[in-house]
Amino acid sequence: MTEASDMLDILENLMNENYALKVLGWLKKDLDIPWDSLKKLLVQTFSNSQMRLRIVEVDCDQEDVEMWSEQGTIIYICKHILFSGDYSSEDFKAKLLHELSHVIRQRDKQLGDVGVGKYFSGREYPARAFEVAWCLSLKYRSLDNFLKDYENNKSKSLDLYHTHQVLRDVTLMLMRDNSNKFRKLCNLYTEVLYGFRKRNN
Amino acid sequence: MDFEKETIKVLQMACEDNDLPTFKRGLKFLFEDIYGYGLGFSYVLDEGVDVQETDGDLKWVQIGLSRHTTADEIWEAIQQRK
Repeated sequence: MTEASDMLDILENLMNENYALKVLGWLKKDLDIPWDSLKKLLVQTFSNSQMRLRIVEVDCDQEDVEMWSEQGTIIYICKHILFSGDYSSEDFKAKLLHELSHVIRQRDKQLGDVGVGKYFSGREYPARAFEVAWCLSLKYRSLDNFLKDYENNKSKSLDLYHTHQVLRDVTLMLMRDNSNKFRKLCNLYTEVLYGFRKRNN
Repeated sequence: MDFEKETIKVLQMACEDNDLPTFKRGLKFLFEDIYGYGLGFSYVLDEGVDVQETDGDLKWVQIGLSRHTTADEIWEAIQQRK
């Protein structure tokens, strides 16, 4: 490893830590409330004089589509994830936080808030890493520990795996593809979120 | 911490070391994580470097290069487009 490559590792880590801290900033709002109230709270929190957040519930016949966001102003949520019993509430929150991280990132760019915008990458994986870390942090401090336990059929990991669709998807993907960058980031977020849950429970 | 400034330092160090893998990784970090652009490399030239920028939903920078192109040459081509 060269000095330049070591420095780059440090910069990447610092940027991701900043992102995780930013995420914790909006997690201070209580997400454990009924959907109608949560929806109102989110609209209120993410609307200001320049931009308004709309949350739209849509009928959707594709089971693999759950929610998506557009332009930092709208989150579409498919009714089947909202009202079916297939998703645990933690899965639902994980997905919602994934979309909110897109909303925030998009807005930081549009509003030209460079100080904040720099902490958000233009790609999908940080939002996905956050979504996965949210569910993992119910029982684990890192994705690596979870995967190790999963491979050894430990019940703590299997319980989590069977309860959360989010974890089933990612575990299967990681078995096929090592994705070091994703793992590293997800480990970091899980550690941060684990601490957050501990302090708030 | 000024991430842009620090990353540019890393890119300059990688140029001095003639360390192309780190330079490419650093450039991806600068464009994708800091500027929010997409960045791609394609080995399509016999020599030299060619930087193309497109402006769609996502701004995209595509760098054409040869197997002999150095980190220095790429950095110079990017600086010239500013």
